[in-house]
Amino acid sequence: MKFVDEYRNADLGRALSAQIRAIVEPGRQYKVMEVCGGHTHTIYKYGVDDLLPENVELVHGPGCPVCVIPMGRVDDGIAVAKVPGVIFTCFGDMMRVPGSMGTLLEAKAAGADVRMVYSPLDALRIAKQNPDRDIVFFAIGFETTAPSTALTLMRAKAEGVGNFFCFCNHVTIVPPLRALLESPDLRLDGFIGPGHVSTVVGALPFEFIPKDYGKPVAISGFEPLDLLQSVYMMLLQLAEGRCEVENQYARVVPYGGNERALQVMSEVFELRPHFEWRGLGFITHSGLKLARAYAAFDAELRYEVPGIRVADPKACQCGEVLKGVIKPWECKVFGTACTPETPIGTCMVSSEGACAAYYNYGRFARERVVA
Amino acid sequence: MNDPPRGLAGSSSRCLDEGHCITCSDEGVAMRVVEVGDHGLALCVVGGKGGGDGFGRENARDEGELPVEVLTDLVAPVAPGDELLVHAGVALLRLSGGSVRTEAAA
Repeated sequence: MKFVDEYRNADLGRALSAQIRAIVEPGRQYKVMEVCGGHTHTIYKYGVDDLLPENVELVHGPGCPVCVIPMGRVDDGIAVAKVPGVIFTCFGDMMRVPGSMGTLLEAKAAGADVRMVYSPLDALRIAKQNPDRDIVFFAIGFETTAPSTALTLMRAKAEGVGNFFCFCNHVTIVPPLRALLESPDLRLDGFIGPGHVSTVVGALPFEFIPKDYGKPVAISGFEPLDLLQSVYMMLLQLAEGRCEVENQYARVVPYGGNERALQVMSEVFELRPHFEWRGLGFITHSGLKLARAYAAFDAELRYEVPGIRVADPKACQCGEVLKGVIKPWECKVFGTACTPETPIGTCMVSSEGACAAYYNYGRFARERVVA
Repeated sequence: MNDPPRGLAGSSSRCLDEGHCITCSDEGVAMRVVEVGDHGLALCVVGGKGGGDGFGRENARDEGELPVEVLTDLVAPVAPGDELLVHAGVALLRLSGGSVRTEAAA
């Protein structure tokens, strides 16, 4: 397949692997965090880690928004979904994320009108088709997804759609990275930066990582060779004593991002003072809420939202997994009580969650043999 | 354009059937504009001129997928044949060079 095969070429992969082996110091342990869940998925789907030297460890970051949403926010969503007359819409994976008293899918089975959508625009369409009902969209995602919600809300406002509401759970990528860098639990040598988030925000927001923390960054695409090349670029910086943000995914990511997307986001959203992340706790200015000009569309203002903080199940170690402190298979319930069919933790829900990626591609078996 | 050829059932199945989550995977799908509509909307099909979408959906265009409605406000104006990177129903950027191609990786 033209323009796809090139990024999965085994010979090129082996050549990159040899280049990586040639630049690492034998006695040094390297920890590289891939921020994005899509990268985690590719790494284990294609066995990218098998091509790395044993002293280069890939650590999975908090780049899966479904994985980092706290149980209390899921409970809040379910509470809104159960309001009589409400049609509650969300992306597919969100329906399976457990709150403290079940999932949106279970709420649907119990009678709530919960519907999957592919885009916020689908939800707006449902609102226009059902003028007598309230339609609530569960907005979730990083800066890749937030412009889609923002444009939809701008459209709803321009068209005077009065029955469309947004339960906003959008988050931003930089604050959790800063929190991780400040974490005493974790020693990282560098980052594989997110690909499509960067199409919106650009490479500029990641400059603080080399500047303030002295760690290199390589923004990466999603094919296996993209990731191998990004690891190589990052390790080469370390080998040469450089420390900067490099853009491996330059075919897609503009350095300055998408100015128009940033503009619509700043019009529709404003930063929350703080937002809770599963495993990371409350992080300042890491979540988005609707700006005052869009308050009429804010589901949190229209409905009684419980807003109760719920602790994670004791057996679940998603927090440690999300911080890269433990590998998924080191969690006590991984692959036994917690599977993709019956997830306890959010990391097992989305296929981009580190636990599901390990589970689906059998990495846990290899890790256990190695251990 | 008010009644898109791809209904909600078809749309929603993408979240689950293709093995990845559109929010968590940081998904960007290369799509080609086939028809420009009103109010910033365009009908697009998956796949650039090279056929793949850069996210492992090889031959997506050959699988008989129907066009989907995409908001193009962020990259407007668009014309039939333009290739766009689409996430959650919104085109995030225009793909230069007509595909997701780049230089060889190594």
